[in-house]
Amino acid sequence: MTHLGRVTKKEEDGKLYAVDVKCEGQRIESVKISGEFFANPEGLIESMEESLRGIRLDKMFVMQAIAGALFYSKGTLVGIRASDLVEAIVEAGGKP
Amino acid sequence: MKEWRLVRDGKADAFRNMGTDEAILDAVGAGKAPPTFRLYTWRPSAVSIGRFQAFDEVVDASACRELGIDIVRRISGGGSVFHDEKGEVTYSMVVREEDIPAHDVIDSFKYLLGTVVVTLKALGLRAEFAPINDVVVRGKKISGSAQVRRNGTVLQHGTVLMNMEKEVAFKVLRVPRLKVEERGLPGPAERVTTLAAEGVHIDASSLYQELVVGFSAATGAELRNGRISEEELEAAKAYARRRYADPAWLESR
Repeated sequence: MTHLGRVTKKEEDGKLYAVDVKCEGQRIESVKISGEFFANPEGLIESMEESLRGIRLDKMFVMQAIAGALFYSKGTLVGIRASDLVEAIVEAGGKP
Repeated sequence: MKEWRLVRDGKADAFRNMGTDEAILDAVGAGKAPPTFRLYTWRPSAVSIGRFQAFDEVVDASACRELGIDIVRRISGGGSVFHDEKGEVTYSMVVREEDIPAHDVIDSFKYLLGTVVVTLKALGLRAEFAPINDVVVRGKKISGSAQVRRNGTVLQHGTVLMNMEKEVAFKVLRVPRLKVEERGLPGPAERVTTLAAEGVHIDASSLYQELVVGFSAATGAELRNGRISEEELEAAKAYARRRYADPAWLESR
């Protein structure tokens, strides 16, 4: 069964952001990360969203996808912590 | 410190303004243009939204249509901004990463916003950098900036508010509930200030001049009057048409 979940967050001293997660059972179909943050290089957010597609909704897998995208692009997020983003995705995916 | 090019532009629409900044980013990245400090204003007034913002959540498109206000998505991150035709000056700075303290993004904001801080201080205000990307006076935001990097080159652009029709601004901008609800903080309109509200009455061309002086004082760099090249101009027009005026780009998130 497909379901959509959304989590909106703003960490202290951070930027407002939202994650919209579409899951088919325990598998992530798609993730949209939006908000007021900064991300370098260009394409980092798109490559994170791409690496999350089709993986299991599990903290370890989500963390690997996010960390992998950051590592391979030598990327930086400003205004969101990567660990908070992972939590938000898992939380949104788990929402009925 | 390298010599910078100073480009004093007049008013242009949102698509052209963003196209010009991106064309300069490409030119500096390709080594075809020196680091550039550009000043410009907007006509008609416009809302710009950040690269990653969800279009339908941060701007009221029908209110904008009614008021003749353009909407554009920037290539830089950050939040939505109302660019009042009469109420603000926008700057952009484009520079190779190796020419500034660029490794840490917040440090680079602080460095490049030094120009705004020094300028506002010269106008008698107690301005200070407020991480991540703002300049505040008495704790209220008077200048916000955004950044994008491409080909080892930084584009930072931002505004200095001279005055503001807050009613219009908060009619066209949708302020997310989470921001409104931040406990202990006043409403969004009370978190913003302007030069006029701080008792500094200045027009755009005088503010340009103040910013030029502030730039040199803050960076120690030489500024040479210049203009964008034919190649940059053509690229700016192409970006304006193919990217910034394209609803698919605007609504891409």
